[in-house]
Amino acid sequence: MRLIFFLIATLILNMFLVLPVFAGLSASVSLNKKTVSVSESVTMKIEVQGARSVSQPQIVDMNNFQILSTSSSKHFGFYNGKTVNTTTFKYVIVPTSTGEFDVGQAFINADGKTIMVNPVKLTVVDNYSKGRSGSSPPPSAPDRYKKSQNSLPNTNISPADNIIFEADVNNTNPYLYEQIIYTIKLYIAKDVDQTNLETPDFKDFIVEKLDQQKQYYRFINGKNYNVVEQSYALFPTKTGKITIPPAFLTGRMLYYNDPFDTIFGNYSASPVNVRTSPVTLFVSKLPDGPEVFKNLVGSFNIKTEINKKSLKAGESAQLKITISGDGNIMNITNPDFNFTEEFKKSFKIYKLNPVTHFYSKKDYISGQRIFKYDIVALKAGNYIIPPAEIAYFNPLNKSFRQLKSEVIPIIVTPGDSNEVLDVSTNLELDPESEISQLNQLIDIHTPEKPLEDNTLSNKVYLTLAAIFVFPLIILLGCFIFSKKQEKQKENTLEISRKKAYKKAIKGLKRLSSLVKGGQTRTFFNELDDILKTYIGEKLNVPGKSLTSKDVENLLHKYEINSKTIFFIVEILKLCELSQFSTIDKPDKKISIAYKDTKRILKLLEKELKKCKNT
Amino acid sequence: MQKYLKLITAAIILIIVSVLALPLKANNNLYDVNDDINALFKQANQLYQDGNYNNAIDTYKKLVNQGINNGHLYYNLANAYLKNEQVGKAILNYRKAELLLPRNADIKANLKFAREQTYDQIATGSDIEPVLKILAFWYYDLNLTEIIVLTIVINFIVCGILVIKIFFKNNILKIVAIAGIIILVILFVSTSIKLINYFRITDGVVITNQAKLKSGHDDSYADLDLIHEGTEFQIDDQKKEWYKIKLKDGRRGWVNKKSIEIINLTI
Repeated sequence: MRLIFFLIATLILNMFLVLPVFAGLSASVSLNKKTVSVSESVTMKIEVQGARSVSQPQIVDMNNFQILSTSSSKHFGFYNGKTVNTTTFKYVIVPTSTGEFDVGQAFINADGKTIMVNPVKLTVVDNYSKGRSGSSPPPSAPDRYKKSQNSLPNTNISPADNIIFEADVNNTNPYLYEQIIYTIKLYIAKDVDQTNLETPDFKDFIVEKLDQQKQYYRFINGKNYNVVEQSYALFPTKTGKITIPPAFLTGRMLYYNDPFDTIFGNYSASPVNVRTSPVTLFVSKLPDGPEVFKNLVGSFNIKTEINKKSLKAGESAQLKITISGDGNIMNITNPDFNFTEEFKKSFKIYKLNPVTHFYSKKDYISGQRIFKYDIVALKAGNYIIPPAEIAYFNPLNKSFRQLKSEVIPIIVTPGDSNEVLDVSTNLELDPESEISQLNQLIDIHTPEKPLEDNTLSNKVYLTLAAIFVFPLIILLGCFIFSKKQEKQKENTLEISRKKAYKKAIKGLKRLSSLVKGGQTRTFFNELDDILKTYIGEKLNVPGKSLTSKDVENLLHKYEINSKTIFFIVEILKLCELSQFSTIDKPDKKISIAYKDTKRILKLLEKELKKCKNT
Repeated sequence: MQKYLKLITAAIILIIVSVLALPLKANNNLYDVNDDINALFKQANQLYQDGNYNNAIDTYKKLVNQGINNGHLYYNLANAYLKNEQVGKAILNYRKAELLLPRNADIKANLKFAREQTYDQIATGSDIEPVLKILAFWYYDLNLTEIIVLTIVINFIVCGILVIKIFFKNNILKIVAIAGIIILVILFVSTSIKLINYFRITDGVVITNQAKLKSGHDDSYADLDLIHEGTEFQIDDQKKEWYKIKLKDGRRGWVNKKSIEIINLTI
């Protein structure tokens, strides 16, 4: 059984690994079209057969083409009993100029060998010179669109029949700053997805996008198109010939073979790459206008309002000038007020931020620009706010028109006090808002001090960093010093604690000479001293001042065996007694006390070592 | 012990006095301005006063190119640009001046004035900024050098208090030390943020008539919008010739480096 399995496995392995090595190595290039127009996409396939490992082809001379997308795939096939590996590289390319080109010449590294792919011919003709059927543009704008013609291997429909992309302007001879509408229209007869619209570079225009996107259906040459329109309001900023470059649209066109495909998402797709024709305009310069004319082109209105017509000195009122219309709203500058000298002396005038609003109408853009001024009355009296004046050029009747707002009377009554007015405190403004004086730029600075470099060099930054760290080092040093001092103090206590037993035993040895000497009082006095010093040093308390009762309590606190405590207390009591009275059989008691003390000290030392509290 | 304490106290006093004297010394050493620079500055100011804004700009720029980063210089240059109807470059230089002289009212007023001249009047999306400006006033009202010096001085004071606290246990000292540490930490964080922002590329201005806001860092990407001269923005990312930007109203996109300039004194 194992042998059979081994034979079958070897056979399969041979089929996949050995046979392909001996299959013939070949490479070829093919195109799906032989003749195309500029900007029309072509699918180029490079197929390599008989190689297991194939590198990306190095394609020679593609200067006249733009490569839109690349993909690769591998297939295994059995032909005449042999396994053949096929690697396919697919490129979607778009020619950028006309002529006859050799395309697809490439060098490929296949299984370590370099093979050359021979090119094929491709003819690129100018747009619409091919005379394709069923691709005529809509009658409304016959010259302003280009189409792509990406054929599909499995369908008879080409994208060119299903997509029309055009751009148009409503006026090709506008005046400088006159509003024109640039519209991009996309006609599609099939579903398109992954769309990416690239609008032209409107570098010689001020641009405002119209909000509304129009969508409707149109029947052209027996085909129903879904039409999408996007418009832009353009305001030319220079005169002469201006060309708006093409807009580009890329995406995928989806094809369904039957209605159920839309439900189950079965479709075939082909790339879409279309562009509009460039649009050329001839922009006329504006005729000489009146003095107040500041390049406003269109049709405008002016309105002036004030929120208070009567105010006290020191109070403020707000003046609002609204200029509305359907021209180049964004170019409106501060309207001219011919304030009298008296008015300028009697009022402090502050300009606030102008506000601009655009309203996207059906086929054009209109809007309004609002200028607000806070005026602060400084002196009582009757004044007149002069009319604001603007002039605009109307391209419809090719004439200038001057507009003046209404004259506004204003009465200022005396303030509550005769103090000198501080306008900044009396001004009814948001304290956070910054204000600037009307049409005035605060003048340049002429400092008396020499001109200095206000920034710091890297060296100074490093020095400052070192200075910052310095006190921290001092702090750390002090901290370490203080800790060392504490530790040293602890160490002294620790040393005396460790030496306490030895010291006590030494003391006892010294006492041995007194055991038979008959010096009872001296003996017990010394013994009392040895015991209390030992306990004091061991437990880090002043030992000599302890009484027998204190010792008892202290040892209980350290959980010393009660028997040990009892013996120690008894010896201490005996010592205390010997100080104030005569003891019977002193020699015997001295001898017992000496031996007991030695034993008890040994016991206590052991117990204190075990005790964690010490 | 007494001897050590006396030594430490003497050292601290000496250091505090040295640090307080440092800005004066630094001014003398680092800002050694020669007469040519002042003469050139005066010449540029005169050109401006005469209405010769193009030449004034060139002269101010000569000083900037010599490495003089001065608030008044940037302010005057910005004024000249504004008079020359180059609002983008004017805003750029007012913003640079503001980095160096953050409390100067003239800069604020003229920057406001310049912003009013821009085509894109983009409203600020954030309401927090005015509140932040009040709460973290030291961050907004002090320039980098000032905030660094303040942090160093506070650091010396706090460290001095802590040293005293190590040797003299006192409850009032403890409270003062905790308050000092909190202030020091806040100042240290503020200084660090300011320092990072100073060297990082964070903000920019459109200096060309208009710039395309693209969906990607290549001309082949779709146009999202058009922004105009003087529009200010934050920079999120950069790739080759493109910056990914965020406008004040939240719009994002990529703009070509040729259309903008960065508000940074280290570039």
